[in-house]
Amino acid sequence: MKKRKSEGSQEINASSMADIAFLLLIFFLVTTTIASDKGLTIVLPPKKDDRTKVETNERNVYVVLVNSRNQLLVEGQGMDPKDLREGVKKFLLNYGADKKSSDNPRDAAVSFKTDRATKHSMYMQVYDEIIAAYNEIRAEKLGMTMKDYMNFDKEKAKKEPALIQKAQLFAQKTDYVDEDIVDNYLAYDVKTIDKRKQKMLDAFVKARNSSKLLFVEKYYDIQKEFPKRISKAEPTKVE
Amino acid sequence: MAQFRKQNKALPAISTASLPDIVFMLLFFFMVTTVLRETDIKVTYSAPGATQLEQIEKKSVLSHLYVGFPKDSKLGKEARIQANDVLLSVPKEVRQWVVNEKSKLRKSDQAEHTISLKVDRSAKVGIVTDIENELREIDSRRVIYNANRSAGK
Repeated sequence: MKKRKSEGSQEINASSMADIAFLLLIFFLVTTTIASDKGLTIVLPPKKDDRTKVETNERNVYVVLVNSRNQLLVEGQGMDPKDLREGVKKFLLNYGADKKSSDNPRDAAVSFKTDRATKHSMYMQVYDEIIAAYNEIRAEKLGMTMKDYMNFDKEKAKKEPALIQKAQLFAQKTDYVDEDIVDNYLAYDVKTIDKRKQKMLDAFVKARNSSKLLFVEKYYDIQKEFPKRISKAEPTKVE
Repeated sequence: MAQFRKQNKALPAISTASLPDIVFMLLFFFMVTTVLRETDIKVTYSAPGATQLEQIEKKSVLSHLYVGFPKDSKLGKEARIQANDVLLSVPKEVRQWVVNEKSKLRKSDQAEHTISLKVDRSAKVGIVTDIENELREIDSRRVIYNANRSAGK
């Protein structure tokens, strides 16, 4: 009789399953930190002694200072951080119109200097606004919205077949061959290439300019036209 | 009438049979997304806000440095630098640490080695500059200042 009872197939009680799962769930909920590796990038200047003095006209430098009380001084005048973006944009797009402001965006530079006692959050806010000014100009020139510009996937765009073809042609004409032809092609700047290749290049540039520019090329050209020249001066005492 | 009343009384219980499935689904999501912290952060860190955020695609080239005020009050009130799970006593120690971190990377990735600075929003610029000067000395000049997305204007 007893045997028969145990033989009766019993279903495993699954009601505690939910409890166990909940327990695990709560453990992972608590321990999870969704890591964000986003931020503002910067490439620091080379070592101090390597630094060569760059001759720049005073009007091509936009001086941004922050003191230890987190107050902003721009070109000798106090300013609210919210107005900085417009200020930088106006400075960059001056093209010599105002004699006290920049000649052209290629020569223009923003000099950013803070006190050692400035708060990091203030530093970030100001740096963010300066970058935003550049990005806004670039996005505008490309006819993109700011959001699209920020999300533009350079790596993906580089794989466009038409672009690769052009880059190969470029490599043939200039024997400027390296591992990544597309990168070289996009980064290429007439100034940095020696004169021997100059003639070939000139012909090529003509051809390149006459054809309709690919969007990705335009993207890089705009970056070259509006280089982010943000000089970060060593913090000292700022009054 | 009698029939209606009877039906109301026999309201069936909501079946909870699918509950474990739902919970498991959530559980798997969190299990997959969880990154267990390797190091214990000994300094305060609340990220500053910014709008023009960029992301480094290759996570492996990043080395994180924390800068903030010690959570343990015995360690003083001055902002300190934390590399891995050690608090550095002088900014100069950053050099050795960066060289170490760099050597862990593959040769092809070493040029892209980026230092991610996780600086507390109320830390001062001075200590950050000290780190940056050390980085410039050893020519490891790619830096990303970590930040959270802020609403902007």
